[in-house]
Amino acid sequence: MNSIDATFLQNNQQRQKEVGAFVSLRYCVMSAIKRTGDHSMNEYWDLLQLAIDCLRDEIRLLEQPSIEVAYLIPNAAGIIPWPSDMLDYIKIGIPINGQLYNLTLNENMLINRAEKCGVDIRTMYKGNSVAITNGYNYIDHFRGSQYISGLYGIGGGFNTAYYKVDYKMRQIQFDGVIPNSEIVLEYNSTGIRGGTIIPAAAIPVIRDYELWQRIENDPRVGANQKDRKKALFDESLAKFHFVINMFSMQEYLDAAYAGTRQGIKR
Amino acid sequence: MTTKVKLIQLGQESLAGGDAPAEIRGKYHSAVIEQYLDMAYADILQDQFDTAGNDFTKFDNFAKGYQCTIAYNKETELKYFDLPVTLIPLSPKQAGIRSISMFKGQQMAFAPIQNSSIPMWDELEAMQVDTETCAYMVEENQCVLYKNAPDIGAILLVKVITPFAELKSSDTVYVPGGKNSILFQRMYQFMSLRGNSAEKYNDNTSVQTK
Repeated sequence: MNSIDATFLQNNQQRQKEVGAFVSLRYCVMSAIKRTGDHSMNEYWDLLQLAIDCLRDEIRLLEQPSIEVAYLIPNAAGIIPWPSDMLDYIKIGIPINGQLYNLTLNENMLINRAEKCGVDIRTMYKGNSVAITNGYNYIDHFRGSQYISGLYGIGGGFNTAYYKVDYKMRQIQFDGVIPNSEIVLEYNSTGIRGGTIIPAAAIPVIRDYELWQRIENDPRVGANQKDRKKALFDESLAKFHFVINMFSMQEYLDAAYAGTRQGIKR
Repeated sequence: MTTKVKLIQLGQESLAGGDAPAEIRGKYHSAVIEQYLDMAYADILQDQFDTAGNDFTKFDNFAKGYQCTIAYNKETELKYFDLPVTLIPLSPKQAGIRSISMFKGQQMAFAPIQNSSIPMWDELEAMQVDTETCAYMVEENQCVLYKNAPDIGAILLVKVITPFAELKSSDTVYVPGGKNSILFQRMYQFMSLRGNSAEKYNDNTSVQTK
């Protein structure tokens, strides 16, 4: 084996020994078990549930959303039930040429909960719209005798289809024309399923949450210990917040170059 | 560390000799000593758990490995296996079982739940997310496999802290360091609790009823 091969092999071996940047939830649980001192599986399920709680309640909801996209077809009544893992929606739109065009929120839409024998009996209203065929995100329209050839980024714009989110029933109802009857729903998911992997930066957050919560409701543990564990968790969360919001070098340079102009050299 | 039979003999000698309190001093059958040592030993183990702090490693020394085979209960539609020994009721939950795993593949150890917690776990997500770790619960002297159970007939390695009474005579007894004398003191305490029992004073005459 020549020296080049040897170096290549060394590099590969080095890479295999490195610690993974993404780990499973099980890893976080085992990391907490390690710190409890009892290395048996006695607290496994309790700690796993705490890890899930932390990932959903503290990280996905507040710090690092896990974005999922679902392609859904409304039923005859123009209703789409939320995916079970959806925390809240981010965008609701239709796909045209690989771009997502937002539909418009219409808070005045009548909430439909009419049912007969467990089936929606509302009929989707399609009277006032024109199908989108050329890729406009919002339809051309007149406003105050002024012709506006498309409207972008203005809430409540004129559209071919509207939606309203029925939070109580965990469903979204639509009104108007939907090309191909297909809706793209971009939403913040819990992102938790079998084999969920989480970034390394979140490990201390989940671990400290587990170690805090396992004593939080134990009346035998003193308030000082609970406060200390909570303080450690808050510290981990703040560090995590700092890491995920940090500029990468490339992002920084992009931002810096965007504002740089070539001027006259003097 | 010594064997069970030697420990019982030591107990017999100490009770026959001068170390034991006067009210319990005497000759006892080895079966009697065994029962009292069993109680004292279980108590010492619980003391160890209560004072373990952050070091539970020593408990694995008290456990012995057994081979068990998974069976199926048609009525409950759950798989189970019979525990090889009676479980010492140590807390925290099921601490008497140190680990259960496939005979080959100890890295995927089973994790316990409490009998009463099934509705709770059924609603929560932990067992939906983890579809590999087997959840078990102890009912009487059976281990019932609630979720993610291996196939029927699979051979398991079960490491359990064996009660003193169920050790073989030649088995080594792991007495926690520094607890040797306390083991016998506990035994004396339990024997003293008998107090003025009928067993002690009844000499099979009718004197007491006169």
